Amino acid sequence: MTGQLVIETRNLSKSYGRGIKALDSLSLSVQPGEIFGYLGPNGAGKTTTIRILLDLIRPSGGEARMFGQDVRQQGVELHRRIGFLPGELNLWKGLTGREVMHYMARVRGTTDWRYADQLIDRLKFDPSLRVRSYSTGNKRKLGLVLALMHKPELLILDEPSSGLDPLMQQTFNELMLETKADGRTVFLSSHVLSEVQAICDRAAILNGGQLKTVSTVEALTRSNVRLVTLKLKGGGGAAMLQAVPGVSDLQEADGHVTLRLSGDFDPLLKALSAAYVEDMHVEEPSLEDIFLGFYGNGNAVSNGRRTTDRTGASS
Amino acid sequence: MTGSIFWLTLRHRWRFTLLWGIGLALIGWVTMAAIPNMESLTRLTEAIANMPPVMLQMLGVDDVSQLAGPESFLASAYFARAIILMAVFAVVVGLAVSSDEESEGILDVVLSWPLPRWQLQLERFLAFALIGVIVVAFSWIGLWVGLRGTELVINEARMVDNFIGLVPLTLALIAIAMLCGAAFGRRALALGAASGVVMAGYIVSFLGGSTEGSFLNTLSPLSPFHYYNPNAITREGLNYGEMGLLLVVTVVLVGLSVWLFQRRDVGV
Repeated sequence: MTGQLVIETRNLSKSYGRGIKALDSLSLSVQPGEIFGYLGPNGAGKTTTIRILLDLIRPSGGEARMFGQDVRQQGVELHRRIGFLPGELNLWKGLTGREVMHYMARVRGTTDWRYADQLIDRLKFDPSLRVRSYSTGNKRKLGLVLALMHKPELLILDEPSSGLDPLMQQTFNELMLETKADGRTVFLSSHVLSEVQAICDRAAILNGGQLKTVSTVEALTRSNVRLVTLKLKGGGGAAMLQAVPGVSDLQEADGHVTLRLSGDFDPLLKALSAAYVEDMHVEEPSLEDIFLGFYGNGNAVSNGRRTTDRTGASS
Repeated sequence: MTGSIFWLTLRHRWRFTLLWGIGLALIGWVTMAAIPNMESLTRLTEAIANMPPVMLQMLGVDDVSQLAGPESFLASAYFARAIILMAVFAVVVGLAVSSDEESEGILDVVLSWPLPRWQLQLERFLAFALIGVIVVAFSWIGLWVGLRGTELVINEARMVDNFIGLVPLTLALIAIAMLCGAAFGRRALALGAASGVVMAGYIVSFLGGSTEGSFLNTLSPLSPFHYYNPNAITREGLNYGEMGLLLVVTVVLVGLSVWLFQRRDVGV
């Protein structure tokens, strides 16, 4: 991918009082025209990053740029080019959805109303009701309409699909892919790994305010890690495989041994040479497995060297 | 777009404006209905004259003889109460400039629009200042309508002066509450600070005014309430110097609010 970076942060940090570090030297770049997933558990620093990009909060160190411009100095200009959906959308309870849309359109000074109505139809959203009467899902739909209706060059979405039913999730995915097809960029934070796996080109994993990895979703899911299930004649395989390089999360149940293998197969096969292997099944880990690996101890699963007994205790 | 926040604030606050306006107009109307003629005014004046000095001071009465005419009665019985109501109004709208939306999480959405923070604050302040003027005008209408139902003859120009004099005080109080909102963000904290400052100003002004040479009397000029005296306006007309001072203070406080709000993290 080429062109000016849509989002770029360098050593971005944010600390609060009493030494709480919400973000620690984050360096990240988002290319134009990509859907970028931003993954991490609660408190990882995802929302903090987004709030700095929107100039709602100011960084303690480092810099953040969008479209090559400083988010603080050129905030107003940049906000013309972005659409934002916060993680928790709060709006004026006494206004109708349509009134909120008009409010935003007036402040922005421009909106493609035909596209806005298309969005309303596709999301099956009723804009005539007051905000106070909307369910969580409907509020989310209104938020999506508000973020998308002016066709921004960059969409910044914080947990966009939480509260959407599976059908709407599908519509949301389609909208994101259409946005990408338009050459526009999407930066979304999410807990929904299937969503990231379905629509994102690249993903970053954040934990404890630190960036753990950035990679294409394909590479993340096809990392050099495999989930292996073995059926050994006579059992007792777990003890035999504990010391094998690259083996982790070793478990044995009902005569089946399951393990996570990073790196080449050769050490595992050599260790199995003395055993009678009745069956062997190899699968690639889901993004969720990888994600949980990062949560667990802050290290990538692909670099992991943990071995685990049947009760799950690390050794 | 320039002006959009101003117009949208006016548009979305019309019910609020109407409620406050009608409320204050009703108080004015009821005040006049209580004294349909000079005889009832004399009886009421006698009753008020027997109040403790501090109570009289709260009503803005330095001298019981001030109550003799209907204009001075109005200054004490209506405008002294209107100050308190407008102070409450000012705190409510001053916090609505940004603090309310910040506490409710709405500000995150608004500030993601192409809108400088200073513009949001300034346009909101101007809209609420206009709403304040409209509410004061409603009060005048209530009093004026009430007056039509009495036999009293009143210098209506002085009555209008009192309403005009109330506007700079209201603006200064809105600016104080706005500053608290800009400084503290969270509504509970900002409300506590704004209410505390406004109440302290009121107490310093009315207690200080009644205790010549005391410490509170020395502090009294620091209170915005010191610069709106309904009885003095009734006697001598508007004091443009004091009104100008309140307007200058308002401009300074609004500028300070904008500066503070521009610098800090929002919604933390």
